[in-house]
Amino acid sequence: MEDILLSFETILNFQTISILLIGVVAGIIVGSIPGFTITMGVALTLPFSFSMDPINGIALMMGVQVGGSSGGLITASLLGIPGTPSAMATTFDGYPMVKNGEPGKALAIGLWSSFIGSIISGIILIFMAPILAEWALEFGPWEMFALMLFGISAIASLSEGSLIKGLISGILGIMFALVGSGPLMGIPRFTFGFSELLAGFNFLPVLIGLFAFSQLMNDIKNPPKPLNIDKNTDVTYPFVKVIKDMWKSAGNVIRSGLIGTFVGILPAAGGSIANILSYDVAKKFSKNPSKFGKGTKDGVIAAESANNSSVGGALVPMMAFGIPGDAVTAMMLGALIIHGIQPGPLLMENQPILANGVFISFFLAAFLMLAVQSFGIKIFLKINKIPFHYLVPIVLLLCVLGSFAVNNRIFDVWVLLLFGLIGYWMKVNKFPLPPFILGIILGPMVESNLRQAISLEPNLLVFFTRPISAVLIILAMLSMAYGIYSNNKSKKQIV
Amino acid sequence: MLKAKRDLINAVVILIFCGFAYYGSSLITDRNLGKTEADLFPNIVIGILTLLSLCLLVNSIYRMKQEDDSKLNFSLKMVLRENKKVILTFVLFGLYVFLLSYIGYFVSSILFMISLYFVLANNKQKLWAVFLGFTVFTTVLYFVFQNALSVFLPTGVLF
Repeated sequence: MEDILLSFETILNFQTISILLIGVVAGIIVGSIPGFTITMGVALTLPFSFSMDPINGIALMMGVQVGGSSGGLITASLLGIPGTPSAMATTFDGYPMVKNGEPGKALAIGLWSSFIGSIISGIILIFMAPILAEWALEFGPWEMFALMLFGISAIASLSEGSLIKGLISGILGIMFALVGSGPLMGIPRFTFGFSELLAGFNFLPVLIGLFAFSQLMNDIKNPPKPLNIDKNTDVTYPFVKVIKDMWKSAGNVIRSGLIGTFVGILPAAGGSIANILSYDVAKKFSKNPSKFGKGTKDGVIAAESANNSSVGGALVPMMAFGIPGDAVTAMMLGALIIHGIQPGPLLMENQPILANGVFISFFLAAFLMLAVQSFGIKIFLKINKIPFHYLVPIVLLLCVLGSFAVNNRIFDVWVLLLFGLIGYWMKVNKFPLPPFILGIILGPMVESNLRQAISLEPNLLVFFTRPISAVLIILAMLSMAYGIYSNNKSKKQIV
Repeated sequence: MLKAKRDLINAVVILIFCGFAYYGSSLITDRNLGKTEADLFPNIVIGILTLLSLCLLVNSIYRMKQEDDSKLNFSLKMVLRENKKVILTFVLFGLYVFLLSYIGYFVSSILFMISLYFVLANNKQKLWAVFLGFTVFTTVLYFVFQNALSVFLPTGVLF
């Protein structure tokens, strides 16, 4: 209890709340611009978070993520274009609702659904994470290795594209993580005589290059449609009506929030899967399924509640196991590592104030998101009119400064360019990025756990005789089998 | 057919990378301490990557044989034309990074942003306003990073 009160004291100060607010505003802006992704937005905040203390840095990224998850609602409803992949299902009913002359209703219901979804996942996060973290403390190196193997295989099988490409992506990430000094004796590996590589590739330029730089290059090749909304469009909706509409669909809101949370817990299964799955379930459970796709509020509620609750869900494995639930939490982990904090089950025990601070900032971000988007929607619509050819140079400059800021060396900017090229090559050739980033983050931990396991017991069968390790390895194989099944299914559908 | 051919090229590229990585792992000094050397895990990873790349190679050849093998309408000129803006952006960025340490943050950043604007904008309007806007933005960022975040940006021969 004392730790929770201390965490509240740490978070509830003017500086942290301002930073959280800036993050939420930035997230909504990024989420609402077609072509920009939440992951890119969080990647761009990394350099700023680097110079802050850990709790403020996490608060900034949390604000961007929560804001971004709801920002996608704006263009999804008003233009029929999802601002982020996690707003795809929102377009199915949000856009028809706008065409039916109810833009304010679409935005208001979407916003409140996002808020309630965040609160539901926040509550589950607070209860689940400590229990799972305590359970994970019993894990030996075999279990940790098997858990990371499951994480990488799950992310590879659930990501877009083929399973082989997902696994190649994950293994490539691990490969790049090996550059630097070896774990035991500090023996140089893959440095090829470059002294700058002795410490390996720094996370920041790698993350910014992979997610921000490559996304921008993709947008240059396939420019997103500019936002053209009639300035006389009324985007307001009475508060009392929102509450009545939400109350009538309470079951849908809660169910979608729970679906989003549990989908978010699975590695790589983030908002993009959560919103579509939840929409599908809502349609099946609805008394009027024929209304879906024509502007029913239940479609918007299902999509938006799920995509925001998946954010909290993704935090559960991050806090409990030190394994990211999606690309954004992978970056949060990277940020913690940059601050010298080792994520994992011991985080909650050794750094309870920081751990509780993550939970509290998540809740606060949800409230701020609700307030900011309720009152600031017209401003966001104006910002979205900034032409792309102004935004790209600005964002690229931020990428450069962010990468340079880590170690004050130009080498890191070259690393940004390298990983920008790699990320772009991967995007063009349909290699998913999340497994790559998971591989880079988890690579050193996978190696150290494997080494420990082999040092303690050279017989590799121990991985299968220890029950938790065996179950996790079986789950890893099942996730790969699922990946093969869904690849074949989608090929048959195309034919 | 194009996707299968592309995957074939990707598989070959990754296999070449694996060969390069294997050469890199052979350079790792072998100090036999305990049961695990410094090159154990890298070799495991390279082995798995090679295996996966071979799977991708075989899969792409299989798909190429299965699909319609009519002549592909593919030319390097077409690829370069389609990706002109992306290629130019990468080249400009590379030049920018190269010049950063010689002419400093201010001048190189403004030059970079203006040149990128010329590459990306279809209708170039009010160039003076664009120049002013980018200059102001560069200056604001300079003060944010130098004063607020204590990050000292590169200075060049000019300033």
